[in-house]
Amino acid sequence: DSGDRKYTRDFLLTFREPNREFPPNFEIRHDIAELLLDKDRLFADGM
Amino acid sequence: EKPADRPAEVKKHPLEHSWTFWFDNPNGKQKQATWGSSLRPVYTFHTVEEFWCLYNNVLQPSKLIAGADFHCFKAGIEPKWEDPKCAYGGKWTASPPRSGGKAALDTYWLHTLLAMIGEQFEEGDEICGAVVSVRRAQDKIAIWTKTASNEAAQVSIGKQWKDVLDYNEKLGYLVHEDAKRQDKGAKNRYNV
Repeated sequence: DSGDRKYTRDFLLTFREPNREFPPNFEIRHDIAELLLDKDRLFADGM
Repeated sequence: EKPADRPAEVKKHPLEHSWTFWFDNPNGKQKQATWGSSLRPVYTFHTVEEFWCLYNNVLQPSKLIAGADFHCFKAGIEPKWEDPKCAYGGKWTASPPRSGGKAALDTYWLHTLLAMIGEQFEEGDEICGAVVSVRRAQDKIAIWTKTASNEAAQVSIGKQWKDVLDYNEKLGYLVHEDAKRQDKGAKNRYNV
């Protein structure tokens, strides 16, 4: 079933800059906020 | 539900598979002796755009604390030996060169993720997911696959992964069942 939606690395990288906001329906939980999330980004978004 | 069937996302770029990021918090591991009890899903994404929104807001592996594991697995597959899709599988493991510093770890991780979600592996159906393990002694990245007995498929994935990473060292494939039975004495089943 695989094969229809193949994307090369170069193509995927073109989407890197425009997609910097938190993803839809993303839950910022305490257990990951401390160790996993980029705190500079958290403050940048005023969250 | 296939990613393409989500009407709000017609203008986005759907991925062939949906994927889930999982985080295993080393602090939680110390508090709760049972392995895996601190393993938690973080986010499931269906499109190229959602992938970057998550990736751009989490720390690079080089910034994670020692002991952390960050996983990206196909949605519906838990990053555990016990998951039915993983039970008869194994993993290829790559260690970034120490000379490259932590930057090599971040690059390896990103290039591995992009190759997986972009379906760049010919035997992509065999892939369960990938995990980056941040350790003081030696950081590691592994790709987990489904059918350890299918040597041709595993060797194909191993060789392609070497190309993706531009990796010059030998890569080894460890079967989960061997690792369970022999612990640290387990030997790699395949090498590329």
